[in-house]
Amino acid sequence: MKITVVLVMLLLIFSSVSIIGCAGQKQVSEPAVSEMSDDEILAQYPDDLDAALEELEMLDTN
Amino acid sequence: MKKIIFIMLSFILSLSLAIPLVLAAGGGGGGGGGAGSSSVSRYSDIKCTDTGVLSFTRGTEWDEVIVQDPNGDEIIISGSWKNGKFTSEEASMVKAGKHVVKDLKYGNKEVTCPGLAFSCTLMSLQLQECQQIGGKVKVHFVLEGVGTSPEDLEYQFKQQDSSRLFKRSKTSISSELKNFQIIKASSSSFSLETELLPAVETVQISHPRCIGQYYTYSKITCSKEEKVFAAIEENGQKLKCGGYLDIADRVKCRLRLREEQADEYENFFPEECKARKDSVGQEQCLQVYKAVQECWDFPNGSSRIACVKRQLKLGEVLAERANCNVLDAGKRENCNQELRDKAYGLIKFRLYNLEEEAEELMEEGRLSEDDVTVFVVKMEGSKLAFNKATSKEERRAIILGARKAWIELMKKVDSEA
Repeated sequence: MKITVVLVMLLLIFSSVSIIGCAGQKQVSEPAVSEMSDDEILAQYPDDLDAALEELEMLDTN
Repeated sequence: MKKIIFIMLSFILSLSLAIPLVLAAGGGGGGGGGAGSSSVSRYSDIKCTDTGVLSFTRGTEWDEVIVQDPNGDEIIISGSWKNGKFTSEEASMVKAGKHVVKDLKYGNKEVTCPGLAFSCTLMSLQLQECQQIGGKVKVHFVLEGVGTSPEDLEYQFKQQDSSRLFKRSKTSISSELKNFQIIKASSSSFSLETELLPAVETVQISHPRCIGQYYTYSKITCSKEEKVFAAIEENGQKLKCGGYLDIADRVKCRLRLREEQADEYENFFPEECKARKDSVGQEQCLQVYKAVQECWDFPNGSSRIACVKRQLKLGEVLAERANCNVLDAGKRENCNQELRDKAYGLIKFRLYNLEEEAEELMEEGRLSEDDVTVFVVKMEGSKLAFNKATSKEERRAIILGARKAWIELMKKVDSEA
């Protein structure tokens, strides 16, 4: 019986922490600038400029 | 007893799991609304602004939007529908007070309007003359309309034989403009006086809030003589986006255009072609831009690039180069030059493509208009610099600079919108 009471208490604490935690998350504003690295940015939003560099390279020596 | 405890435990456990999930879903769900107005409930966003614009989401479109004003008179409101959202034309809601949107199907809806305080459509701006004598510029202009003030206008002076602009706005002034003052001559007539040493070719007055579909700006040539000759004033209504002196204004104007206005010739005059001073070169430049227009119908990626290559009559660069190099010395250089022009055209299209991608992200609400304007101006500058570059290293640096600008812009993309 005592174990059950302890379990109930633990669960109550857990659920309270979850609710407070989520409420806290809502108040944190999103960063204005992404923290992603340049390579990660290019992977997500390709600029297709490697092809431009290759075309430039293929054209001539200068 | 054990059964009751088990039920209680199960309930608390499911509650502890469910609440965070619901809250998390709520946080993410907000972003979805940005893509369209279909998720907005009917009339929840009804708004009436001090520029006389009424807007609301209704879902189903109407042929005629009828509104009852505070005096009880019914008026038909003109405007446009997009994704179930109605936006009236400016200056439609003039009176302050409670208005009723008459909706027989879903019920009438009340909205309180602040009253018309300012409108680009009702504003009239006309330059009458400009003189520059002994390092002093004098300008006369007429300004009329609800809520207009000469202090809110932007004044730009273009230096002779240069693209350099000297500017004065409500928030900033070029250091070359000394003792700038605006004198009121009558209720709608004003004089502007400033000391400015470099020779001025043209003066432009515009309203920053009206850049875009209203084209509220005026330009005039500055005389260098005491006796003022009848300089022809050029009005924004005629010049549209292409007439603004500043590239940032031209870009912002194009970004704010309604879809049906975007194809108008004056609005579609590529910056790269505008910079070409010879008429033949300008025409050739325009032809290239016109030729690749159909490629925007292809999805971004290899099919769009294949279309551009077709339009530019560009095959595989290495193979074409090999073909050029087997020709006689005289023809060889011409052949290589043609190949370079076509390949450079493709490289510049890739920069143009990034501008369009940025614009799409702006339309999705994921990038701000100001950030996209700055980026487009940079890309247009990159294309001009590419044309002027004399070495491969310079061209390479320009492409890498464009990549840097793209990365910086993409870091600002709102992933939640």
